[in-house]
Amino acid sequence: MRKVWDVIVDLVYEDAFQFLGPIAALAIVWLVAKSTQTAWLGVLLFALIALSLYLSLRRERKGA
Amino acid sequence: MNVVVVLAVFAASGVEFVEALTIFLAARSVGGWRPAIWGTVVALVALAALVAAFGYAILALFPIGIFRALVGLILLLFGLKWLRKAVLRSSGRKAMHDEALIYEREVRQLRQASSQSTDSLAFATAFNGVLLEGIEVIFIVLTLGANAGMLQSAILGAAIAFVVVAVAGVLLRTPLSRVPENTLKWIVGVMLSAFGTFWAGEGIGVHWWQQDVSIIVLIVLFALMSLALRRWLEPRTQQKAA
Repeated sequence: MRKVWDVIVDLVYEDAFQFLGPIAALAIVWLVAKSTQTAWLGVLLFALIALSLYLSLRRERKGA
Repeated sequence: MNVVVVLAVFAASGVEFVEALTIFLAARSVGGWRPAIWGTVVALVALAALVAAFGYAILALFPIGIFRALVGLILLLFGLKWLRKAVLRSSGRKAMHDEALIYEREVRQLRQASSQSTDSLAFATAFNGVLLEGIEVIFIVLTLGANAGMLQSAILGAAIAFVVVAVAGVLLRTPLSRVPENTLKWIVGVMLSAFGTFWAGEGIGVHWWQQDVSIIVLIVLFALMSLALRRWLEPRTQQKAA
């Protein structure tokens, strides 16, 4: 299970992930915002963007 | 002349002008004055053309939500790119990688390409920021001015706000030039990411807590997050020495 996860994550770590991550974050929040309106949506958006930045940097840490 | 309308538009458009100034200064610190000023001038010309062409109809015709989302996304992508680079450099990861892998000639070419890309980045950032904030100011002036039947007062309020913020920008120029380059680029990354997140969020229907105040919260959050990431990326020997 761990290996499968690593392969998936390695694939999305590529440089394109820097762009796809924030776009995916916005798409998710947009879908949630269509069905519900809560003050936590902003927190969710920031958390998803932070996660995408963290994931894109994780490879750099592993690689060194 | 209605003083209440003047003050209301001054306050509301002042917030937008401060946001535009922040983006302009960020663009300037990345690519210098020239591309930042060109981006601003082209945006102002586009705004003038929009107002001349549509007048009041701009309120109904312009999909401000979609525009916010698009501009926000562009700034967010630029901002995260700069923030990522700044985190990698300050943690020591970026320099190690470059020195080991790139030949001198390639480095020179990369520098040239990098200089061109920072020019277009600065231009696009200033253009997007000024255009979006300018449209928001137009919305404020037209809605407040039209609702009160006091368009002249509304225009005066916006004009005073513009002058006050522009003077503040000129005064801020010298202190900003003393900030080290890498720190400035980190600040730019934080700022663009925060503004981009805020605008993109607004565009897709997020109702931010206390509206524009959330930008300050986002700036603090992005700054703290990048500092934590930098710490996390530092080689362990460096962490122990610290």
